[in-house]
Amino acid sequence: MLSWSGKTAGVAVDLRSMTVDIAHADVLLNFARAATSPAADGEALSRARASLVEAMGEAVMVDAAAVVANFEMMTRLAEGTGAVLHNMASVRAGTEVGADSFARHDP
Amino acid sequence: MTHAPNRLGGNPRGHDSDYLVAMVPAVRSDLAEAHERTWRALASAGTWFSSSERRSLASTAMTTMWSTEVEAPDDDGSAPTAASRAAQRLGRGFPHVDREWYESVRDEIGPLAYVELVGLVAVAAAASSFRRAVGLPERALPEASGHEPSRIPPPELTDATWNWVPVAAPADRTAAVVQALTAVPATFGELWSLADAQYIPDAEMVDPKWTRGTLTRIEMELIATRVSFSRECHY
Repeated sequence: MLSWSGKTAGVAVDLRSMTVDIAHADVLLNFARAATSPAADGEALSRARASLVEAMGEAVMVDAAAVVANFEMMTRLAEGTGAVLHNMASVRAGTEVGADSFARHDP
Repeated sequence: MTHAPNRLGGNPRGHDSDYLVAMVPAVRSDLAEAHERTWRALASAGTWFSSSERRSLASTAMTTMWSTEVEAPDDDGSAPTAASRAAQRLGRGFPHVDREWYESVRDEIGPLAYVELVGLVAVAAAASSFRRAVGLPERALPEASGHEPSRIPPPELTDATWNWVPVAAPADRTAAVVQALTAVPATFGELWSLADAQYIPDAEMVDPKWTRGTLTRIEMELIATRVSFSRECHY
């Protein structure tokens, strides 16, 4: 959906630009992406989980899973209650990662 | 450290959280306890929904969450139809809801029930996501506790500028996601106690170097951004 949204809006989205100086950014991003994919991608999640455990250990994998879970929760909270950003720094940060292409709640 | 009884009156250090740690030894005890409280709460009475209604709505949301089918799954008919449809919509990774949709659901089930529903779907999504991400098999929800909603009167409410839903007065003094569930304090408590264990305790939020010794803060934010991005969440 992100790729679709970015293409539709003509917005280039590059999360990798955020990963400078994060040693295992790729495995963390791969795990987060696989963990939010539909059930049909279960094998991809297994591989991503194994890669993260190998690179950073099981305790990191568990806490990464907890952060994924937290934002599965928070995104639904924000969407469902029509939450809007009031903080300009947050608005700018969203623009930086291409979030302007997403559906926006009007205040 | 003391542990308060959970909403069912049980000990959160009971065998269920021990089971989670046994399955995945690296799970922190506070995280296991938080998830076990959440799991039980999904089938317990809330403020505006009965235990059987909450169990049905949570099940619907979790089924929808991982479904690749366009058609919504059948529910068990325990919850009001409008609430069940809303749980299906919010359970999806990309609900893309708007104010008109919110107002149509609110008009059918009431604004406070709607607030509880959003919180219920959100924590159900977290519970399902965590188990799947760490590699645990699917787990049946507990049987409904059989209790009716408490219908505890809300605090003084007001309209907010930063949310569609009513919030505890005064509005717009804290972030929109923080004030979003304040109209139903029990739902607010369920979600934020889980967030403390999954992400960053509220008191530590201001410290950019805070860590549990596993992920650094910036690594946590990287994952958070990836998930929010995947869900096309503008917030």
